[in-house]
Amino acid sequence: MVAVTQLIPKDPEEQASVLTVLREHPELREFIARATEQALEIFTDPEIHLDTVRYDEWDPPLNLIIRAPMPFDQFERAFDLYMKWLSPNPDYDRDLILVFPQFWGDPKDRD
Amino acid sequence: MRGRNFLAVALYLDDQDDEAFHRTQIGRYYYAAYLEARLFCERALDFERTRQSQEHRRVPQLISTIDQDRADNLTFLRKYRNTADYDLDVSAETIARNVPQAELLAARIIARLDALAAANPRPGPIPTDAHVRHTSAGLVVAALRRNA
Repeated sequence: MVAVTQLIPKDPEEQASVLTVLREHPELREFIARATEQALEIFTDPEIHLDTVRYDEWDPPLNLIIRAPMPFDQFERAFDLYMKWLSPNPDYDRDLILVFPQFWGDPKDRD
Repeated sequence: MRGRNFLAVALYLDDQDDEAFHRTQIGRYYYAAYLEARLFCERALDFERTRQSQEHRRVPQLISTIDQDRADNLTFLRKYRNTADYDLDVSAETIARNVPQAELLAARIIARLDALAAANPRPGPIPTDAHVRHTSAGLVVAALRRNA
């Protein structure tokens, strides 16, 4: 199983903020590990991390950001596959966490 | 005026390879989908507007009662929009990468809402101006084709 600690940001302030949420909601760890494993299976070389960015007070306290550097047509298929797993998942508590699979560009268009 | 009319604005901005235009595109895609979703909730799900920002939370919650996948899509689109409008430290490259997914999500949400409205689950169809319906449906299809 993926260690959630691998997803914690290096920035000390953000790190502390993420750890606070994980301490308050220990039940999130297992879901985060499963969501990460699923993302690693479906997306190509995703960059995955946790953060606590919120824009409104009702936003969930934690985000699991999955940045997938893939050609867009491949990303689209992977996104649909991932959403088939994520959307109906009874353990996905949207009040606590946002899982966000994000298109991160075609590797061949970069550099 | 319908929310979907903002799709035309977003597509109009497509030719401009510039960060500010890309950020504006993402915002227009979000509001195109959000305003269509809000209208659907008002007409089909008895949603009463409060004119407070909490509506941006309530609308996806209501949509989730009939389609969780599209509700999640609307939530993603809002996150893209917030990043585009508020986080000016996010790179131009990142913003440019977000545009095609924002377009796809908006098109999918609106297409699904149109399908639900056409199925007419409640008495009284959603009133739609014929011209708006014609032009906007074309734009939705074009957006879906471009991302096919």
